[in-house]
Amino acid sequence: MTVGKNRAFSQTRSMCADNDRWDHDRRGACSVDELRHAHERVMMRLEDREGELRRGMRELDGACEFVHAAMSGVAASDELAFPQGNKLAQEMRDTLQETAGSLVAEAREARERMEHELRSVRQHMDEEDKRYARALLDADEEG
Amino acid sequence: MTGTMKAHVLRLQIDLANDVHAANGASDEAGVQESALDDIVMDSASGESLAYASMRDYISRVRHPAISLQRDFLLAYVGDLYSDQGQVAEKLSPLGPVVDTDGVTQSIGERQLWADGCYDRARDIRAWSPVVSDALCLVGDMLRGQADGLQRRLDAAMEYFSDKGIYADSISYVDALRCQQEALSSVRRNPITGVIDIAGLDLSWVVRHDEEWQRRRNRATLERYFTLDANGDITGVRPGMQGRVDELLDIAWKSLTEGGASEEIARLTPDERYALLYALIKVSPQIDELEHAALQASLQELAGMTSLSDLESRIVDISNAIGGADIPLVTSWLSFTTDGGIFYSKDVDGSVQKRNGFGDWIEFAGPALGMDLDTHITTFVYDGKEYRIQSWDGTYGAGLFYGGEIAVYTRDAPTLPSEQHMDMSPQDIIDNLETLTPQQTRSIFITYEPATGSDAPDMHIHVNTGGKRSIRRSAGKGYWTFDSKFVPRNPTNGYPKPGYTQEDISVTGTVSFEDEGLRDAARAALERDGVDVREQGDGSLVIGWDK
Repeated sequence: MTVGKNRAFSQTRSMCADNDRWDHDRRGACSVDELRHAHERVMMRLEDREGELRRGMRELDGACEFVHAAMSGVAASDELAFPQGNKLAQEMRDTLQETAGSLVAEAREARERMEHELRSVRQHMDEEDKRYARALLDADEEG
Repeated sequence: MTGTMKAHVLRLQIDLANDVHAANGASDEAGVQESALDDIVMDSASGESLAYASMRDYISRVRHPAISLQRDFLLAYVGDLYSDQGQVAEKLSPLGPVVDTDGVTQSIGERQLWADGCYDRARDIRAWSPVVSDALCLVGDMLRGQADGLQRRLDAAMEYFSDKGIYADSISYVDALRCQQEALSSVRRNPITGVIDIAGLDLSWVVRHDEEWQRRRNRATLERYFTLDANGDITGVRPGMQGRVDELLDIAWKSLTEGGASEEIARLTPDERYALLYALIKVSPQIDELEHAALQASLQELAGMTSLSDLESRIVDISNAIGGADIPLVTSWLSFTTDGGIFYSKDVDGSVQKRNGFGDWIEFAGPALGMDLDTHITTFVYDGKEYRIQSWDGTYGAGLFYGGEIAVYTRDAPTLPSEQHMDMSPQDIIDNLETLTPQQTRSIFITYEPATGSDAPDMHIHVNTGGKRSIRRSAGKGYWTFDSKFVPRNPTNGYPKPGYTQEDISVTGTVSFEDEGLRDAARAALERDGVDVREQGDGSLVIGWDK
């Protein structure tokens, strides 16, 4: 479980570290063009990550829906195969239901972690916008 | 087999149970007819007239073999039905009350389809959440495992539907039954002479009733009631037969503890008699082993509280205190009392023993009461009655007591060969258990009444042992004397002293009959059976049933 969590956060942290480095470097009186390019690079990477996270969340949702569909499909076919009920088939479905329940719980946890990271990415995007605006202002004042 | 099959398992099970019931009933009826024809063949004298002789010939060579063949078929059919019931329980029941092979096939396919989907999804999502990916694989594995499990059950069900061999045993009789039917319908009777002509009949279907046939017949009979292993040991009771088996065992218990057993014994069918005898012989040794184990544990317990020699002296004290008086309930119900350390029987009207009389089969209920006995039986006919003089010697109460018995029983003298008692020792019966004929089984269940009035002798019993002690007692006039004592034990270790095992013990009796004719007949019969017997000056017989 921790593997997924660390990997997701390490990606965002790494991007933030790049951002900080750029912030430190640009104090050396860059041109407006350079500021814009740097800003666009950071924003692009953050947007890419945002897109990846959204896709991951959609995949998780899809997996949960797929498992629900599987449960329904199996139950429907069992109903046709065993119209008067069947203890064995019922036991099989109960076991499946239990395992599917665990899967959905795992998926929910993974989704929550992704949502958390998504919020973090958006926060960084906001901060980047502010930083870029400040840098432009500083450049104007210096110019 | 690839066709679609749909079976209502519950309905099938109900139909099979009804068929088993009907086939068992038909088998019983055929058994009664077979037994009646047995008696006719055995009891009817031959040669009185041509018509009579031809009738007898017809019955013994055609009619009796025909009903016997029908019975073999019915027993095989009952066996096949039981086999069918077993197959339904094993191969169809796991798929529920209705087996629809198409539906199950679709259900299997559905699971396989979703399993494949789970694996695809698991691959797609691995980068995002390996945990969820693993969980999807697990669901996929589970679905695939369930599909495999259902497939195995479906294969078993298909195997049942395509199995043509379940009724093979009973079907194998069809040709013979057809021939038999043709033979019976071809029998012609001369309307003038009354002679039955069987000369031209095809009797190729007649089965030879040898020992192997009897063994098979007895096994099939037992399998109506029990499931048996390869050694013939009882492993269970057939579904639907538990109630009757309990009733049969209850009759055996009644014969030892209550009255009325003899009337119920007379009502048993030939199959029930054999099943009861078999169960008693097979189950009693197991009970005997349990009793010995329980006794051993009890003795160890007692040894912890008091020494066994103390226990013996206490028992003797109690015995002396009773002094041969009637013990409430015990004497009136079971005929027993005690005096001087001897536990013995009295001839008590209304006691269990006197009400139920005795028969060979009761010997096999003995081990259930912890008896280990040797017995000698002599039967003879005198003045319209059959007499049975019997002795027993050995140990009682799972080895706690040693002792012996002498008894005289009677019944109306048999007038027909089928009513004859067949002399078989308990060991003979056990040795030939699997091949006993219905006639032998009937003989084993013949009930003798206690000798009363002038038939009851005056008896003195001497129980000889291989040790220092023995038992001597004048029992007086009566049909039965039972005498036993506590097996003496070594005071230091509590073990029984040597000389008091079943093999060490024998009985000598001095028996006086009022009727000299009866005495002479008894003496001749005992001599005939190789028993050491001599007449004393007072007319009493000294009988030594040595080993």
